[in-house]
Amino acid sequence: MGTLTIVLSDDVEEEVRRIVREIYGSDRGNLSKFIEDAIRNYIHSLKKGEVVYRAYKGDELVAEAKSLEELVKLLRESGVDVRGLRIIRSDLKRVARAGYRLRA
Amino acid sequence: MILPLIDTPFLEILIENPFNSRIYPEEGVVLAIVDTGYEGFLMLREDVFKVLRFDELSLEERRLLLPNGNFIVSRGTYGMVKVGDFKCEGFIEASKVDELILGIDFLSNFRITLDYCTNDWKFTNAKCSVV
Repeated sequence: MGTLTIVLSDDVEEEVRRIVREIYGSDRGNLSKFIEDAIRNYIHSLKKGEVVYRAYKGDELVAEAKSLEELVKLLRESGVDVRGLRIIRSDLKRVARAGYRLRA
Repeated sequence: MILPLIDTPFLEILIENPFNSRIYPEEGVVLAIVDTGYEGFLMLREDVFKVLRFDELSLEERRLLLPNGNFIVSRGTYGMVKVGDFKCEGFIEASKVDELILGIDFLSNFRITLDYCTNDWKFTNAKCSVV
C-alpha cells in the first residue's frame, strides 16, 4: 500500500469530506477508500472513452454535449421546443440482450 | 435505497425526464428489479414511459434479443434515474414488461456486492453524479 501526500483546494476538500461522510460513513480509512474508488473510476472512464449527446430537430443538429444535464441546459438556453427532438448518444448499442423478463 | 436480499434484488428509484422535468413517481420511490441478463439501462412499462412523456421526443429504435433467439423492437430515449444520493443518465426504453428493470448499463455505474449467504448486499462506489 502506497502513501501519497496530495494538496486539494479548500472547496474540493470540503466537498470530498462531505461525500465521504454521507456515502462511506465516518470510519477511519474511508477517505482513502473514497480516493481509491474515485481514481479507479476516473481511470476506467478514460479507458472507456467519452460519450457525446447530440440533439436533432429534424435533420438539424441543435445541441451537442458530453452529458445529458449539459445538453438539457443548452437546449433550455436556446429555447428549443423539445417535442419531436431526437437525442442520440454515441455509444448506443443497436442490438442488446433483453434478459428473461421481457415478453415477445 | 435497497431492500433486504430475499429473492430478486430491487432498488428504490426515481425516474426523471430531464427535458420536461417530469418525475415518476411524483411522491416516494418505485421499485425496480436488478437484472444482469438485460444489457440496457432501464426498461419501463409503456404506461410509465407515457406518464413521463418520453413519447413526446423522437424515439430511437433498437432490437432486443430474447432468450429464445427471437428479437423484439424497443423504443426509447435518454433520461435520468435517481437512486439514493446518486443520479445516473442512460437510455430509457419501453416494452411489454410488467416491471421496471435495471440492466447492466445502469449497474456499470456502481459497485454492488450480493451476499445471499447472509441475505445482505452492499451498494457503493457510484460513478454517476451525487445529488
